[in-house]
Amino acid sequence: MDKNFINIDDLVRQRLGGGEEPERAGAWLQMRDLLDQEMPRSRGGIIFWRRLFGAIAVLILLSSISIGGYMYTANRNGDGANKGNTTDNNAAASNTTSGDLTLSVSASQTNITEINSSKQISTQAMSGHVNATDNGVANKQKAGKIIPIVKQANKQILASNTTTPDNSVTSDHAATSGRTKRNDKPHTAKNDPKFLTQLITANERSKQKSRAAASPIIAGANTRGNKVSSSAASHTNGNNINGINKTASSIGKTGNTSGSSHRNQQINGVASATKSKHFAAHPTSASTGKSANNTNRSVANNAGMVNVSNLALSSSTSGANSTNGINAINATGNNINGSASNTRLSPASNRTTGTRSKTSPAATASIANTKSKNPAVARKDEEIAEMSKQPTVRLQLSEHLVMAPTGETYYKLDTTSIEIITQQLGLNKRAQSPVSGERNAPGKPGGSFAGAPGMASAGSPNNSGSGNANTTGTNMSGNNSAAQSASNPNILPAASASATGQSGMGIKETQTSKMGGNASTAEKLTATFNDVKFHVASARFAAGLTAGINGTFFGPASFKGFQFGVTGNFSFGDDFSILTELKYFDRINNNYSLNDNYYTYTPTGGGQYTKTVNPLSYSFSTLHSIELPVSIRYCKSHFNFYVGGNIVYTFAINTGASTLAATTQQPTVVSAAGGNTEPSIKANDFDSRFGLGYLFGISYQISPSVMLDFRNVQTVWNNASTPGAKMISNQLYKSPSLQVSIGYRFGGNKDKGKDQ
Amino acid sequence: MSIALAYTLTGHASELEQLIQGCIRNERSSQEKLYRLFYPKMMALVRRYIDQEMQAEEIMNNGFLRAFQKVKQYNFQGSFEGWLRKIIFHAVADYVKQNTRYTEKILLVEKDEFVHKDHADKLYYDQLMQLVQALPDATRTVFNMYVMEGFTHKEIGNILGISEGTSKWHLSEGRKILKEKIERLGLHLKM
Repeated sequence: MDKNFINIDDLVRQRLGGGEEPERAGAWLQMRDLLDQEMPRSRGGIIFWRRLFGAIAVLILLSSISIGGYMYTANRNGDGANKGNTTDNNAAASNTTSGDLTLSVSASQTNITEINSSKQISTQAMSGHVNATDNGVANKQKAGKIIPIVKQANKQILASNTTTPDNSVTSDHAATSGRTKRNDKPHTAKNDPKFLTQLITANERSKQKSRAAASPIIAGANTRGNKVSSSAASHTNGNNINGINKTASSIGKTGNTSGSSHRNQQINGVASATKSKHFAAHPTSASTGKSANNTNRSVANNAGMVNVSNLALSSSTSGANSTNGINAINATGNNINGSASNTRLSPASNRTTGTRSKTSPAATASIANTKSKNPAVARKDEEIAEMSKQPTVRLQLSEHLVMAPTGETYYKLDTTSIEIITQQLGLNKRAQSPVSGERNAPGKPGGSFAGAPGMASAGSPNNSGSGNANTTGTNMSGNNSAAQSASNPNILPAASASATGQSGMGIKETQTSKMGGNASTAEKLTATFNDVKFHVASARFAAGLTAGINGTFFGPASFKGFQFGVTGNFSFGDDFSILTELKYFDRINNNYSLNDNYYTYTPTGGGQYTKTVNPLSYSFSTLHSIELPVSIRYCKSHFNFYVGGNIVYTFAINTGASTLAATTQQPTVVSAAGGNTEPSIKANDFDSRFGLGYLFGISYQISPSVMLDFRNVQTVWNNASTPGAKMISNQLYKSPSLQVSIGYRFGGNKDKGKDQ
Repeated sequence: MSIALAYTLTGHASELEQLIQGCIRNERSSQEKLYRLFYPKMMALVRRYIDQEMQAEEIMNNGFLRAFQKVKQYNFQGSFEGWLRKIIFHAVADYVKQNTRYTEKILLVEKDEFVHKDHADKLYYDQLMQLVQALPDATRTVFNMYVMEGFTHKEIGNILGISEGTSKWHLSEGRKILKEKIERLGLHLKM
């Protein structure tokens, strides 16, 4: 064989044996599609779910830590507040006079002591507080620490209360000028317990101490005079309770309650839970016997208001308080109703008062100061008459023995029912200004009020008596204000109503009865319409910020990125809200490119063509968009469930120059020219576009201001028109996107714990 | 966009095993890497039988799919590339068998064909591949199977369902056509 010749088999084997073909762009995508079709990622799915569950677990862990930290912090703050309340009497006094005359009072003995500036018993402070809150925002119960709040309002507020439909108080506690102000948020009966009831807890130790310190005088009548005190008060607007609470200032606590660990109380009228101890609040009395100046300050700050400048709680619990001024403190002359069981009429109180032989000079001084420095608070009889129609609210409370996580036990007082009694109280004349010295004058209208039975004279048996003419000549039902009783001894107080068996009615029941069986359908519809209109008009708005991460996992391409923006939440009631957001999205491309190969056919003669592949690939780095989600949310506990729509504006994609890769494949010879001779994606197919989609998700309220949001968003339509643009939309924009965000909300009704 | 994998099998046995294990777990990332690792060689194999690029890729993908489905059967004994190549080839053979008609022809004596070295030296992979792809389907299949895969006529006959004589005829026919085209191409190159 001639060496110049080579066998064809060897030639082909040699030249083609080690040959390789370059990978065509997009080959793997087709392979992946085939695999997805024939070999679904079952195990991969498990891995995915593992990762997803892992991520969720991490989020839950972080949330738990956040919540735990929040609770812990809140708990510590609560303790701090207790300490402050129990140790700083002046602070308490200032609280009572700060802001809108929001006066929070706990009926606990501790508070009594506190108010009386007695630091001897301050160590017994339990969970009770004397707190002032601004604008009637009820203090929240934190970690078993309950802060009762009693607010007072001026008589205008009371007047408005009487005229507000559904017994709703539309007045605002900020109406210091004497004018009523419509509340921005009504509270339905459903909501009332949250705001109406402020629970006071006390641990056993404190109770025991209190018992030990109880005055024998009281002990005789009140076997458990030192038992856990309770007060229910809140600012709740839009209902009688609130209004009454505002007007209420004192908390009667009688010792009549038994020592059972569970008992019910009815608090009539003035939002004051009454229980056991004798104490009465009197606006005119100096808040503390310690200093009459406290009273003066408070009155000055609250000029024009019906001031409950001070609470002098009858510190019957301790003789140590005997030197502490006037213990009887009344609120605005509005009723301070003891529970039915507590509504012993004044005789007892009087008698008690009568037993008080000691008058606190300090208290007297304070009264004197009050009298001289608060003329602006005097009320006209006409105005007082308006208040006589003030509805009465009766709270039925139940006390439970609760075991705290720390191992301590305390009593927790819950509101079990709220009753609105619209009967006229017969309050012909309103109590005089708390600062009015006339109150102390026996028999004069507006004079000393004898609060609840035990409240009369407020002072502890040992205390005061304080010359409180409070008890003079007044048939004080526990519900009557001192002024009222003074001027109209025969008035039947609201408490007596409860005593006559009208207790236990809730607001709803009352409202229902209001509607009555005689109400026509039209009236009901009208009422419903009014309610709806009222709710819509009272929608609350809260702005906020949100930021988080997002990822697209289920489409042909996987993008991950971040988003941030602003939010606005419109709350309608407590359960529903509409959340609008405006967010910027940045999605980072993960080495994904759009392939759009096409072919070139070149005639080679003989009816054959040379087919050349032109790989065309578009790459990009990021996708930018602005989205406007609008969702309707339903709140359940700390969770919000929501669905809604999403408007998307997607910015044009900057692909740089479309990458026309060099032909890596040798042309092939084909017998006929085929199709796909032009790229289907044009440069302008990457332009911006609008889209519409849906979203659904869930969020968790970590704290009143912070929430964790997890949602799924998908664009289902956009205005892409050309085939290339549609292809881009399908591959880049229409995949479901999972988003995790942290939101923070400013202002709003945070205490409601609603979503942002 | 294809991602060229820098490493080869040599010296990366452990990596290949990891890829195979990933494929056994049906992990897309491992499958992608394995696919892109063997794409060039497997595609070259397929292209010798299938002239249409997209068709060839589809057949090769089917072969890869079979491989991924059966990868559990690979016992890590022997060359994985050889195992994969066999699967890919069977995918090609199935396609050819279904889509190629063989006319019964009988050739009792084989005859080798030779080309001048000058012509052969100027032949490159792409050119020779085009020439092979230009062979008639049946002839090309038999030629490749005999020359490149090393099958005997008997084996080719069994695989394609044809007689040994027909296989020999197609082999001779392929050699003859290639010689002519190479010689023509060589003349063209000289010009």
